[in-house]
Amino acid sequence: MKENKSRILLVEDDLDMQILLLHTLKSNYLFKAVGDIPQALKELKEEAGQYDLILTDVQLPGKSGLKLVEVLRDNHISIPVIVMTAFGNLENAVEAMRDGAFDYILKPLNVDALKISIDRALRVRSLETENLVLRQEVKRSWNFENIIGKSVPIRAVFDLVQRVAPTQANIFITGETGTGKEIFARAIHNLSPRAARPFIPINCSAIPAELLESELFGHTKGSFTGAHQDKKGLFEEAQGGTVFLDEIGDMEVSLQAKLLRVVQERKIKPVGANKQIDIDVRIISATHKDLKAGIRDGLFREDLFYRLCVIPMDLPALRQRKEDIPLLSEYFFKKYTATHGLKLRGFSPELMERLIAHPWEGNVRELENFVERSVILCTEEWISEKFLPLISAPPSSTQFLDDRFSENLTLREVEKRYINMILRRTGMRKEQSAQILGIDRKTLYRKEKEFGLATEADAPAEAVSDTVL
Amino acid sequence: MEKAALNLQLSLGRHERGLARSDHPVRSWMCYSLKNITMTETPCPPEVFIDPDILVLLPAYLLRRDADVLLLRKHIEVQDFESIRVIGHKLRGNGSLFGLDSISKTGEELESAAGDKDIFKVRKYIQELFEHLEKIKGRPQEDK
Amino acid sequence: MTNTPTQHRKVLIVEDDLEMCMVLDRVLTTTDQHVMVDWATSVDEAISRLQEKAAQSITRPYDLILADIFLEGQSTGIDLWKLCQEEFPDVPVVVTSSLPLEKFFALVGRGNIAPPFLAKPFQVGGCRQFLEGILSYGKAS
Repeated sequence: MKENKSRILLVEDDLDMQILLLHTLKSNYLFKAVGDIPQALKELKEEAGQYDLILTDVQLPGKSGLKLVEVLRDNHISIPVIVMTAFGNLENAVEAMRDGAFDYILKPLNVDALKISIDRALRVRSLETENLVLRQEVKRSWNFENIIGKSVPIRAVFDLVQRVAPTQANIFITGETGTGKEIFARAIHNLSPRAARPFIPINCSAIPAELLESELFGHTKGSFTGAHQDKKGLFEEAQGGTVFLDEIGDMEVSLQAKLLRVVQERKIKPVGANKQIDIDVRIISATHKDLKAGIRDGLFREDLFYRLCVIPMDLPALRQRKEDIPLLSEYFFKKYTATHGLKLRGFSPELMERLIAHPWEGNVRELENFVERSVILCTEEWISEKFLPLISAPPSSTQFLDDRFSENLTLREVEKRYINMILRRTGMRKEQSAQILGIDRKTLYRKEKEFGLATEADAPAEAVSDTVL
Repeated sequence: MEKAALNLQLSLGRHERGLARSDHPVRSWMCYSLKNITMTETPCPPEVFIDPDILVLLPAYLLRRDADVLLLRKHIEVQDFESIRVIGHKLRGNGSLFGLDSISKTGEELESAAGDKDIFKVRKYIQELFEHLEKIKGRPQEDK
Repeated sequence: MTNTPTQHRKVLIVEDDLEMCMVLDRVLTTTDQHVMVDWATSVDEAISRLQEKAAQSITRPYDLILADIFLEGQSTGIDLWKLCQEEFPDVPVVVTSSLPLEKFFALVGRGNIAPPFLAKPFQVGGCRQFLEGILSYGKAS
């Protein structure tokens, strides 16, 4: 009589780990444990068809777990392999993935994460697919609406997105700069019944306060200086779809009052107009600020908060999802080596370790910028630790002056460092930086090129958001 | 930046009977995105069943209660007892929406203490409210 | 271009507790995906909304009003109900409160007709059934 439970081959030499795994997972699966690669291979040869999954440590006596992945691949055996590795050896895991491993799990083990991974692997296995398709499946399962991540916190957000997207509820996204608020807002829109209608993102901090009302709700010809003709507001452009109000914490209180009315009445009134227009939009808002303090200090209306924050969504900072750093780095690496036609092999293990340990105040956007820069500037096969200075710690404003005062700098040098500092501070947001510096986008780009702070990718083309998180 | 109330602890202990199927969409969602809300600190009467569609509103509710704590602290600094009384009254009412008796009770105490203009009691209940919220979010034991 | 077809139900919640508004809104929107929910925190505000809506179309301004008894201002939910009976007789008004039944009837006045009453705290499940029943009662024209 064949058991219905899946059979897992566990390759692990650490007895404690063996016991832990067997104990926690035995109710769901059948296990066979071996202590090294030769035994594992022997077991597979004899019982090839019997195993549904292989769970192996990377650190083993003699040959490493990676060898197992290689052997399976070379012999076209399509049993999914999950490798277990410690943080310090992540590049091994990533290499294993490239060779065809299904997934990796970090030690110390998170049993829930392991179970999830095993279940996914078994589900894919049950489709009886070949290695190649498995790899694509892996990519797909990591690639949720163009968002990359396997860590528990980010998967929790994926789940939340899937739950709330189909409803009409207004969502409020919080999180540090560069955590992907717009990306997730788009994901929600794409999974909602409004997906076929427009998604209009609006950055409330980038638009001067006097113009924001007109941007949102439109204006009639002559309603103020510079209003040369009637203009449709972005809410109207988004009719039937979704409006994304980014940096809503920066909206002036008087405009908040108008926005509240719009949300309550479902009508807008363009500046200078007499008639109101019915609108049907879903609103997703976001801020990196602490809104509760804003409410306390009277900077944000509590009643508006009720309306905009039916379901809050908090995005984890990159340092809270360290497991995703190698994945994201790999992704950006591939993207930028392809874009620029470069033949690099990857990141050195030492650099990867440092990347994982780095606090990433600018989060994913900062990581992406770093990868792009280092890919372009690197002349060797492997990107090594010497590129670390390309990530700089965010300087404080006093520091900028104090440090520099001791050197005799040219105006040009001061300008360069200041621009660089502002760019870092805004998390490389070009619009915001240009505004702070009091110049336009084109001038900023020109200066970035002049000082070697930018690449072709920074050129102000149309606002294409193919940034991947 | 402090974590928003989304990082909550939800343990569906006494509420599980309402979520009969283990693959109930809200439950699996709750398990991943809200961690465990321990309601056992303030026992919720067994006959109170919170509809999963409503439980979805809990994170936002808790965020607003966090804002209430900040507001209350501001109010007591300037001895604005009336504003405190109003908030206390609201808490008394809305705690029951999610079976959070501790919140209702503290709200009632706060309303009464503010009515008596008792600074010490008000401070005490503000702190109590804060602690109840932290417990509901399961924070004290958690190492972030 | 209007996106509010007349067959969408319109409900007005009159409640000064915004948390309760959020919950009721949620109950309504999960009961009927296309329902349009307005909130008011006082009888005065409720009346202005009723008048606004009535001026806009020939159909009844709301398909249902859910009003708490105790609200901001002097007037109560019961006053709102009385008013609606006169001015907007085709709009059903349901009054909610945590008052025990006898006190509620005392408030209405002995011997008088009482509005439909939903006791708080209500079980959301039961509340939903109740609302579905009322909303399916007269179809919007």
